[in-house]
Amino acid sequence: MITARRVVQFGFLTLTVAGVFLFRGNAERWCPFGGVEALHTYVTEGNLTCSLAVSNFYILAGVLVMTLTLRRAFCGYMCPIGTISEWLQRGVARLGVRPVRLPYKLDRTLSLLKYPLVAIILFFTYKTAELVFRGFDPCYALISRHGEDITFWAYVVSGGIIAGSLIVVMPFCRWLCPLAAVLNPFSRFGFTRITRTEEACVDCGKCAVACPMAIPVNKVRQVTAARCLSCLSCIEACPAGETGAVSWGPPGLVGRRWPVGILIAVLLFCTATAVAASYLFPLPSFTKTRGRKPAETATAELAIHNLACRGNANLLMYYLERDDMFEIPGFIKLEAWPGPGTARARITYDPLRCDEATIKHAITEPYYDALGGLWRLSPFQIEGYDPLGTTEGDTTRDP
Amino acid sequence: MQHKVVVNLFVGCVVLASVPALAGPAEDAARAFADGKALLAEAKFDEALKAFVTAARTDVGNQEYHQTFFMLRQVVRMRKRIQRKQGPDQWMSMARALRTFYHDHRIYSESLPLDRKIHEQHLAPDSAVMLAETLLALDKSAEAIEVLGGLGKKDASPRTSVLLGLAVARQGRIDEARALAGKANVGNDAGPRVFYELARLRAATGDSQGSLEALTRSFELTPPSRLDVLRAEAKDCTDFSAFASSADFTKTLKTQSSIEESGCSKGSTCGNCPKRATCGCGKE
Repeated sequence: MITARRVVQFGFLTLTVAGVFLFRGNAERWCPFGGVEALHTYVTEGNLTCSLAVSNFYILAGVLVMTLTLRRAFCGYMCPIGTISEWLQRGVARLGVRPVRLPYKLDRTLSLLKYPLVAIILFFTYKTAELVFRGFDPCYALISRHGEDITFWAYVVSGGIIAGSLIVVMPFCRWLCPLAAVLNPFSRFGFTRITRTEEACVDCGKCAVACPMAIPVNKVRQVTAARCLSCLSCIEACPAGETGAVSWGPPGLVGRRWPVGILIAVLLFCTATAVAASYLFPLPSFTKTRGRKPAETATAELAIHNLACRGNANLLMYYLERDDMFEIPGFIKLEAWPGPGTARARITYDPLRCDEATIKHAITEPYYDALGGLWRLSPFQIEGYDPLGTTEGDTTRDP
Repeated sequence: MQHKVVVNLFVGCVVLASVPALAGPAEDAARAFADGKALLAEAKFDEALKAFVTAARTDVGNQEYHQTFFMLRQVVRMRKRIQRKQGPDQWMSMARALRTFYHDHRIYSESLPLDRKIHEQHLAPDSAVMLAETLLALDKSAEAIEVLGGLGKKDASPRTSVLLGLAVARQGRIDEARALAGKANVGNDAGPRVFYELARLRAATGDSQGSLEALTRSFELTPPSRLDVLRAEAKDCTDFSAFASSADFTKTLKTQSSIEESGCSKGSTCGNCPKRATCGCGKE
């Protein structure tokens, strides 16, 4: 079962590395913690923090379902930081370096550090609507291919994690990971549990030694600790494994050895469902409304070039709210899916007061910014719309 | 052997013949665009618009042609619309937009009637400054003195003093202009335009060193996106002609802006953008 877990870990790590370095994808949009960070801005303002996407919410939902089912299996099977950290320790263990086991109380105290840390991160992220700590994030340093806003401190933290991982098993995951702080309350109510059958236990303590999260498995009947990764290392280490001294499964159905394949299947199902949902039900990542919704509305679905990010979506709204001769009268709602190349935008309007042509004009025509005292040229081009169509000064349309 | 030579010659001829055909549309577009610019400089708006649309249609991928056309098309619409009856706010908004366009393209003769009308309606220091600017650009310094002189003491500002000094210098009253330059009290918080006009005033009074200092400050305070327009204006400005060929002036023209200006890098994702946090809505 450990081998199966390693295969899954290797698979997800390879997927992340290939996605980032080979296909140069935006791995940030698949980070579940991104979903936590983006939540407040999305709910209150209707748009997402730059570089995040609605897929962050889907993957967060998938991970939460996973956690309610399999405890923190995401950390033990999928997270690249967890995998790297664990494998580093196992690497040096093969060289004969034994991991340091901290006293239980000290370990528990250190594990509380992640809660104030996540509170600080979320407070400033929600307050500024920006990923203010991203430059310090070791995971971002990896998935951004050393992004331009990465600071020296990201590498200090990375170095610290690497150095720490050589002497302690998964120190970041145990003590500092902000996602772990978010998942722990859900994990506490996790459906599946590790159960120790006292009658069959030989009290060798090998299960506790094998646990990467330093859970004293040999001292409890059922592992309720939120930090359990469902890695099943305890079961693997148990010399009485075949007799079922330590087992994993749903409560009431323990005592038998559930195949690890079920765990992996649930894990992959949650992930695949989240990924599929993000493509099948693509919620707009930017929503803004102006005016009161009339009884009757119409929508214009436009494919817009240069609508690359939230900043551009804000700029598009700025053009839709212009107050010059191309002003759009009445209600306007912009729902956009900013992205590279040509991005989708849905504009809802009052058909009694304007039409699609008015909207297209507003988006593409230059705008005089009275405050700045300068002319602004629209960076947007609408697919299938030829603004050169109206060649004369005032022929086709004089707003 | 002979056969190969003939084939090579034929291929060469085909390639040579196709070069002008390939380069044709871009060249035609460039020519039409240049014609449009020349027509615009002569304030022939409708003709310029036709030339620009030809350029944009001929070289479809050239964004500069497209944007220039869009801009002029809107100006042409505004020019027609502003003559119709409408509310004072709407009129003022359009008048200011048109004036900005005229000044950006140095079509001062078109700006003058607008500036006069704006000043007639407002009689404010701002409108006086706008009118004086245009009058000076059209070498009507006597009228500029009259306009600026008409402002009360409480309406005087470093900018009005500088413009008045410049107008006075144009009248040949250099000592008086020098005194106005000294009294102008242009603080470090003044805008780039004030420093630019101070540079002109100092140049007109023979203070080339002071002029270059003010010009340097003006460039430093100008947003990067507007720097090229100001550089071109400085290059063509007759006030600087006394030292326009000097190395110092050339060096000053290369002064970079110290203003941070947001702008999207148009990358595929914001993930790597250093301006991610400040790109905002592109308004700043």
